Amino acid sequence: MLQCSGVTVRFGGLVPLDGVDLHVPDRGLFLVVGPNGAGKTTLLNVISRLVTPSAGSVRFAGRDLLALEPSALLYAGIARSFQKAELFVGLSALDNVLVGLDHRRVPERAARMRALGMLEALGLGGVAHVTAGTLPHGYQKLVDLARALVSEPKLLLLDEPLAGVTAAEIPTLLRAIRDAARDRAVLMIEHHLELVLELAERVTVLDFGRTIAEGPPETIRRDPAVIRSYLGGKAVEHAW
Amino acid sequence: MVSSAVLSFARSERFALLALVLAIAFPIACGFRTYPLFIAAQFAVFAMVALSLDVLMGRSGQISLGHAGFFALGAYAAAILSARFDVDLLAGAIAGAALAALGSLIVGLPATRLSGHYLGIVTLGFGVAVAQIALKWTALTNGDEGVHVRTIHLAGIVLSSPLHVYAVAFVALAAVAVFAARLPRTRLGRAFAAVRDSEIAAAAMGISVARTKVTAFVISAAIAGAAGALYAALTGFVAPEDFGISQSLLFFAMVVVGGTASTAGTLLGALVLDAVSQGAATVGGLSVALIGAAIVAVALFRPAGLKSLWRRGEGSR
Ligand SMILES: Nc1ncnc2c1ncn2[C@@H]1O[C@H](COP(=O)(O)OP(=O)(O)OP(=O)(O)O)[C@@H](O)[C@H]1O
Ligand SMILES: [Mg+2]
Repeated sequence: MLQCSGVTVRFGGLVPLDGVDLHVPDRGLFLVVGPNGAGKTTLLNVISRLVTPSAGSVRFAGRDLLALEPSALLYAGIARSFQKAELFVGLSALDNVLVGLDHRRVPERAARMRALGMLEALGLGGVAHVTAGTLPHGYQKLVDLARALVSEPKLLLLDEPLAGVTAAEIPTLLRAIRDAARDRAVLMIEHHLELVLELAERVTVLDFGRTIAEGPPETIRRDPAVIRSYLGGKAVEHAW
Repeated sequence: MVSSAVLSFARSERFALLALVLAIAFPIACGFRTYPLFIAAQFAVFAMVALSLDVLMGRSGQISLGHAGFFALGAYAAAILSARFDVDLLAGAIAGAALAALGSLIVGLPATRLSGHYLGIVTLGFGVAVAQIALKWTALTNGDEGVHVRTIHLAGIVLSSPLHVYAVAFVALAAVAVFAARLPRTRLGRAFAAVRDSEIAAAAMGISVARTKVTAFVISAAIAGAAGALYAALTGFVAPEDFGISQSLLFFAMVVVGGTASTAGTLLGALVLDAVSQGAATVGGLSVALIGAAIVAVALFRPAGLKSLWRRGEGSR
């Protein structure tokens, strides 16, 4: 459903993405992994139209995404979360999530019920009315996820959803992500492979802006190039 | 936390009730004398402009240092229509709001690409330009001699006494205050806040940042323009000196001193600053200095403004 071909991004002399191909079907969890600075966030930014590639194409459900404005993506069925939760800090957690329903003009009362339900499902019912900017970072990440999830996208882009979230919240979060991937595509960047690798259908490994491996989790685990570049030569089972 | 939201809602209703009682009690308390009624009605008009500015600054995160320009467009539109064609105040206010909204596109469209200091400069320039046009386009505005309003009538009813104008001004202020207070609980209000707090997340949530910024400018200017029409009706006379930089500064100070993104705060800021500027004006020429001092004092000692007296733990917004 999502098809990236030969995506190349240049920032001055830097080439954070260099001819990356990526295919994401209709359903399931798809992982993008790689060391810091590999270009993972940049790839998500290309798909969500925050960064325009200098070469390559991005198509989604038969449409050329590069022809769309960033604000048209949610309407096309693509929602995202941010690596450093980009919340509307002056709004309550509930209002943040409500923004995720506003594009569909859900009547206010029904929207409030849905948004509250989403927060409760992520264990955030108690902070629904707290100003988002004052929440601890882990909670902010969860609100960021709730805001994207409530819009019921066809493709959900998650940038390190587990980073900064406390251990107590991780099981709920993993369940939410797995449930979300049941009837939609979830493209997720994550470093905590030990927690998410088993949930993924396929994994793409980026390093220095290039795809160094692609395949189901079992293969990726044993790929020598992955071990060398991503794991610094450490034993796979141990590192993961 | 839930209970604090419930409490604040009840508090806002209590606040509205108190304001209503005061607005009704005031004319009786002052014995229906013309001057106090005039001063109070003028406060109501200025407070409308302050609320319109808070919609722009506090709610949508933009800035205007030239709001007297929109106020002037509304005042002149209503005054000229009245002087030349004896147009009704309601129609004058609609025309004033429309003209100000049109004017806001001049600054609102660049606002989609500018921010911070640059937007401040553009709006400041806009305010100065409007006052200059009012002064120089004498064929339309009579220059510094100003425009005299003919009989004031609203929807056919002649507003013959100061009490009438007072009542109209406070009903209009109440309408604007209700709009401003409800805005954050609407889709549009959330879009404003989204653009204010994170443009990239706003876009990711389907909000067109440019369109939302322009919408905020248009709404804010339209309210300021309607207030301008009321001002023309109130004073019966408009002249360029009422719409200079110091007037824009006064509106700006009302919002900053009261505390942005707060309807009650802005109303309180308007009350304090209006009192300060009225008081200083009688001493002579001190007004602008005191307004400046109020802005500096708030910036130094209470960056969140007067609203922080009752709103706690909400950061600096
Ligand atoms: N807007 C930008 N301007 C210039 N360089 C950028 C920009 N955004 C990212 N980069 C650079 O591009 C490279 C890839 O960054 P990116 O954020 O995509 O990495 P990442 O794989 O997400 O890393 P991490 O795991 O640390 O989040 C880095 O060298 C980064 O410094
Ligand atoms: Mg990243």
